[in-house]
Formats: sequence, structure tokens, C-alpha cells
Amino acid sequence: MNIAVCIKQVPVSNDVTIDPLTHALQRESAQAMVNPADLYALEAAIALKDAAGGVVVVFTMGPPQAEEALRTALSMGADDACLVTDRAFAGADTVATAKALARSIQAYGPFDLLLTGAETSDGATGQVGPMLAECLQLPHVIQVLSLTPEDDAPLSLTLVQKAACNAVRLRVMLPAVCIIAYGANTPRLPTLRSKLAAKKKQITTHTNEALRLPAASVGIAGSPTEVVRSFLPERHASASMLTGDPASLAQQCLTLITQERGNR
Amino acid sequence: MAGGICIYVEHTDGVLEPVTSELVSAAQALNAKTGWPIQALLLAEQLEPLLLQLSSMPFHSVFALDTKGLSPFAHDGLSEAIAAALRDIRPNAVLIPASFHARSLFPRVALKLDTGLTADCTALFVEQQEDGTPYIRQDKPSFGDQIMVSILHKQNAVPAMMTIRPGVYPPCKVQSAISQVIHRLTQGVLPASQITFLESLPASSDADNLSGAQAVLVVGRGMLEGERLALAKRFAAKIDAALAGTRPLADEGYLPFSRQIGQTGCTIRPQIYISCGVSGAIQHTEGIQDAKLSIAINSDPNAAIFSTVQYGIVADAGDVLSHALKLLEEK
Repeated sequence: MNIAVCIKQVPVSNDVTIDPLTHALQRESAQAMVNPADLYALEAAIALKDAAGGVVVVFTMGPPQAEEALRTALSMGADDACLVTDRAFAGADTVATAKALARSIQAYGPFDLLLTGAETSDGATGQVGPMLAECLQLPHVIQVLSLTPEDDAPLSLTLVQKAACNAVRLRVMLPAVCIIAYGANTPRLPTLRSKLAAKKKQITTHTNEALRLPAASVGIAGSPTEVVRSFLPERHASASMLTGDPASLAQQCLTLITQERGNR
Repeated sequence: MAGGICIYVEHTDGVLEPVTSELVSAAQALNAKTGWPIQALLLAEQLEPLLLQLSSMPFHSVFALDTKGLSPFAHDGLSEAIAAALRDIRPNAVLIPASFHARSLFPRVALKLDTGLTADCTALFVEQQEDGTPYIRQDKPSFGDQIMVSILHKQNAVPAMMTIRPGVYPPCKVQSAISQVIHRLTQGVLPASQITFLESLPASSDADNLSGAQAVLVVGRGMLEGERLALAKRFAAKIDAALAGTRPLADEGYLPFSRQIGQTGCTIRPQIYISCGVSGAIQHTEGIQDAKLSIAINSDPNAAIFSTVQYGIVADAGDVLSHALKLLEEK
């Protein structure tokens, strides 16, 4: 089974401030990591490959340093990696991101299954997975807890989808996009050996010269939405604030609970 | 017909989701400034009971599509059906609940309609282009809840599609009936799907206890030091509350993911919600809806959680809980 996994490199910390003069966003942390939700997608892909055979290729769209995220994925057990990078892709919203990733995947070669993480820790829209499916005209399922290939032709798999607080079993025809639920598995850790091997791996790079997406479809130009302002949230504590020493606060708490239960 | 504010209507077991009424409030605020009529888009296998419920709400038009034969899980086919309906309706804006299914369906719909989708808006404002044409500015949190951003759809990105979190807008006021037109959409053969529903799986007892719990005690990162988590467990047991946690607690193995509340975890509707050491990042608060009593204990007076609960306590949660346990044990 040939599996593509799309990941994103995100800042380690979400701490940001707004420059009081320029109103520009400043990230406090220059450190980056693989988006935590994507680790579950990587683990799902590598485990499937271990069980069913095949190849896992990891894709990411980002600036050149996003290559680090690909190295982490390789060190977990992915076979190959592709960096989708071009100045023209900068400033992309979810639509432009999905289009670039989809084009790269199509250019790379046929896959049976595409996996992504549930959402990024910075943007947290959860949109790119479903949009990728739309670009590639494939079915998609979100919140996937587990995947089981079926021995059929045409290829299909059954999966368990997390729904609110229970779960359902679905069958999906391949190729398909599966968005893996946060916490669905236990992502394996790289070993020293696998990290060293990952360092030496040749990574494919796709710039727009290779992908040939029209200028109107990429980066800021290709984004139907735009952020026009960043600002600090106003915090008005709208709660009624209780006061007193801890003992009094505890009593007030218990009284509120008893009253609410008495109201039923 | 074109040029309205179209609300995507969600429903479970023949009953409208409460968020529908909240989106109507949002639409009314937009309508007051733009004059754009308020519309409902309803896709269901059993339309009549839902149409009846919609008839007492202030929609100018209701567009209804019978989706018998298309599973609610067939998001490939369903998103195509929704896009086709919106191409007929041609609204200026689409308001969508930021819910489990909609979050999966509407990214595809946006691409099909060659427009954009703003996720998890917390406020909407009407502004004007130079020529006086109104447009909607959408505010939402970013980077956790560290900052807010304002987002616009570009002029050629129509309709402006946005998801709105439940609990952001109040339910709409009940009004005397306005004349409402029902349009039954026909799409001939519904789109095919590569997805088949096989079976529902019984919830794990953990998840089951959480979703049915009348009272929930949620612990956040602030509870990881010292004895606090143990205190929380004892207190939860004493007041007969289910114990749950924010994502960092599940990430670090203190609680299973089935006990995690928030955008990537469970969404629950307990009667009583008490949080300890929870900062109130939006990815968590989204997981709690409609609690009758909500109390937050956090030592940080600026914690975002204090904007989302009824009662706030600025204190060390460990102190408060140990006193509360003493009081309960005295009885």
C-alpha cells in the first residue's frame, strides 16, 4: 500500500505578541516541531506499512526549514519525503495550501491512501485534510481511530471513526484521504540509528517550477480569505467572581452545586 | 432568491440542534445592517418534523433537500449535494455551526464553490466597501487563544462561508410568525459516495460515563503539580462528578484521550461543569456546551476561562478543593 502523509512544521510555542508600533505578529519562539496531531498520522501510516507492506512518503508545504519536520518523519520510519516550497506559496490560506499539496502528490506518483493529522496547533482549522480530498476528487473521513485494509479488489478499507463520544465503523473505497484522530495511537520514537539514516536521506523538493500552479492559485493570491488585522483579545471576565478565603470559597462552591442539584 | 444569509441547519434524531437558533441571532444582526434575507438550508432524510420546527423560527426562506439514501457519513456525496444546493440558492454568506460533521463537509463545499471558509468565528461585523456594498468581517482566535485575527473574504470569494462556534451567539428571540417560503430542492439522482456506514460501536465505558455525566470536573495543566490531581480525583468522586481533562493532561498520559474535552476530544453537555487549573483556551471551552452551572478555579485572574463560565474563583485550586473535601467529609 502506497501511503502519502501530509504534515506541517509548527512553532513549539504559540506565544505571540503584537508589535505596538507596526501591529505585526511576532512569534516568541523560533523553535519548530512537527505538528503534534501529525505524529498520529505518521504512526498510522508506518504501522500500516509494517503490516501490509508498501511505501510511506511524507509531504510538507513550508519554508526551507520545514525540511527538519520531514527528517523527523523519516526518522520515525517514513521511506521518502517531499518538501513543497516556493516563495510564491507563502501566505497561503487552507485553500492555497491544499492545492499546492495536492499538485505535489499528483506529481509524485499514485497513492492508495493519504493521511493527515486532525488540525494544526497554530491554525487549528482542520480544513486541509478534507480540502486535499476535494482537490484530488477522493472520499475522505475525519477523526479516524484505526484503519484495517481489506483483501478486496477494488481496494477498500474499514475504519473506526470517533464520533462525539462513541464510534462508528465505516468502509471506504481506496484511494481515499483519512484524517487521523488526535491520540489515536502511540507514535513511535526515532532511534539514534533511524535519526542518522534520516539525515542522509535524499529529500525531493517541489517548487512551483515543477508544479506549475498558476500564480492566481498559490500563496496570498490563491487564498480566498485574508487576515486583515491581528489584535490582542479583550479579556473581560464576565463571570461573577466569588471572593473570600479558600475555606469560604469552598463553601460557596458547594452551596452552588447543592442549589443546582436541588433545582432539578 | 439570491443575496441572502444562508444558515446550514444541523439536526440529530429529528430534532434541530440548539446552535441553529444561535446562528439565527447572528444572521439577524447581519440582516439589520445589510437587509439580506435569512435563509435555512436543510438536508435530511426525514424533512417534515424538521420543517415544522423551522417554521416557528424567523427564516424568510427554507431550502429543503431530501437526502434519503445518502448516509450522513458519506461526506464526499453530501458535500456535493450541499454545494449544488448553494449554487441554486446563491447566498451572499453561509453561516455554519463549527460542529463535527460541518467541519468535515464545508471545506469541500468551499473548494467546490471556489470560495474560502473561515473556521470558528467568535464575532461578525458588517463593514462597507468604497461603493457602499456591505461585507462581513470575521473575528476569530488564533495561536490557541493568544491573539485575535480579523478575516475577510476577497471580493470574488462568494459566498463568504464561515463556521461559528456553538455558545458564541445567544438563541434567537421567539418572534411572531413571519411569512416563510419553503423551497423543496430537487437534485434528481443524489451524488454517489465511496463511503459506507457499517455499524455503530458501543462507547467505551469511559466515554459513556463522560457523555452521560450530570456533573463534570475538568482538570487543566495547572493541576499537575503536587497533590492537586489526587485532590481533584477525590473531590470528583465525592460530588459524583466524572473526571475529565484538557488536552495536555491526555498528551502527558495523566488521563486517557477518552476523557479529554475539547475540539480534538469529546463535546459534552453536563448540567454542572467545574474546572480547576484550566486556562480556557478555545480548543477546550468548545467541548463544553449548555452547562446550567459553570465554575472555574484558576490562580491567574487574567485566564480566558473567566470569560466563559458563570462563576469564577481566583485561587489555588488545590487549596479550595482540600477545604471543600474537609467540609464534605465533616458531613
